[in-house]
Amino acid sequence: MINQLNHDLRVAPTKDERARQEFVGALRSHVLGNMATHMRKHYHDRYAAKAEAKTGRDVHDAMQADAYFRYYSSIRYNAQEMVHRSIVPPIARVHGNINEAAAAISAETSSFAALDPELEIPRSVTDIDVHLTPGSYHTEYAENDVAAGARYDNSINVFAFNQMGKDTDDIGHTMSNYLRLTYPDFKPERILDCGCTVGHNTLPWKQTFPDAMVTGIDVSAPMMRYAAARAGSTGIDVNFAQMNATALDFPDNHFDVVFSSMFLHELPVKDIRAYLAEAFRVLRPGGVLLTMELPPNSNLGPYEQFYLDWDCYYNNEPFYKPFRDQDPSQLCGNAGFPADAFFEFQAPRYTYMSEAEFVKQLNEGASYDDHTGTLTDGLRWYGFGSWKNKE
Amino acid sequence: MTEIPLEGSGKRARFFPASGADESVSMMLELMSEVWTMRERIYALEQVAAESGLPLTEGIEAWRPSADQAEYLDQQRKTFIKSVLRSLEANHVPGLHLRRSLEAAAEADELGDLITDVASAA
Repeated sequence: MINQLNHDLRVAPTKDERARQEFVGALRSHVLGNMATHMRKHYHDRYAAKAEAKTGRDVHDAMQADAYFRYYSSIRYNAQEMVHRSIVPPIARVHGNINEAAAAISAETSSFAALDPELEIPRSVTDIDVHLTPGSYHTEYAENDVAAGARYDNSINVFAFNQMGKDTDDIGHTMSNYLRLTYPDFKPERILDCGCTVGHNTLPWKQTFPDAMVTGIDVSAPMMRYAAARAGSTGIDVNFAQMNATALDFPDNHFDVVFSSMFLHELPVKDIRAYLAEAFRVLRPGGVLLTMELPPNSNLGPYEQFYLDWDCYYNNEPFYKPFRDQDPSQLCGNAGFPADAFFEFQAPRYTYMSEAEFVKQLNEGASYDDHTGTLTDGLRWYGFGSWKNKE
Repeated sequence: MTEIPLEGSGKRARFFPASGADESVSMMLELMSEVWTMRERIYALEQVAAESGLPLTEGIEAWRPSADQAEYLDQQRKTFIKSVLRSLEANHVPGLHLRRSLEAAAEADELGDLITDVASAA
């Protein structure tokens, strides 16, 4: 069964709406599990020998006219649309109530969202229905609207069929605890999460580092309103601000950690460069950039490159492959981080195992394979980052 | 308050060379979703009825809808058909929240060269 949200903004679907969501989650699990496994074997049996693929593009060229790839792609594409189709009706039914509830929670709790009505929303958001999401991330349908946030929050468990954690926050827990356990002497006081949407992976930073001040930013006003109310509802003290990560409204040398997750692959490369330069600027000397992302193509074999790049071609994420074609260490170096301070890693999911097992698997390390960054049992998240030199 | 859209904007991706094949997949999947939803509900219905000691099966066979009930079923059936056949709905047209297609944006070079590569391959 699809996990239900565990906070006061939870939308209660009817029995039939819930059955549709369960169906779509199961369909996605089938496509990304069973069908993906069959397709991999199909490629290696029929095409690998003669394709002589060196890159994901070569594999794509070999597979594009294949009937199995067409069905895999078509069903996966439809399933993505059906995620949204199964999520919107229950939200639309209580739209006004969610907006009122969010405003009431925000008024009663210390979590708040600082909005910037003058902020120009980047065209990488406004011109593309990212992830085939109707209205993308930013569209508002009412005054003080939170619908885009509600839609995103309610869609995660259906989209990920529970693979992103019971409270959809495994990435945040995994990355913050990676930092805590790998660098036990590092005690961050100020933490920034960029492009945080509803803050589901922002809150774990406060849980992992309770003494730190944690801030999440995003360009979308409805996301920020929703994120603040969501945080207020859970009693975790995190603040949010509507801001563009490529032009941060924070002073130099301010943060100990600048974090983002599943963010860079939605940005044009010029914006990735601008964001990393800003991250370097606002980090204090001795602070750390930590980025959870999809793994770069250079770390993967041709088939894995092809498999992950599907989203770039067919899921309205045009910047996905251009990002994954970059070298993360070069990106960090170009932003000002010292070359020898770069690190990258794969981490198992923190909330799916004991801390001892998490540390054991971290220490064992892992090669890059079909469990890296894919929604499957035994998946490992990819991360990279760099330290800003102490002065 | 305006309506939250169900459909994204722009052209849908196509995967099959044969005309109509992509729409058929959409119809099949929507039908699968609805058939499953119905099966789950009927299962729940039978369980609840049995636990409550209701002679449901006999009652259903004997039941005839009133005029209002018939009207309700008519409306529900129309919505159901529209949903199953949604890929043939002509609703991918310019509107308030239209996003330009990747190809158009690439031709206008407004999002940069990066997506030209993507748009031409897709």
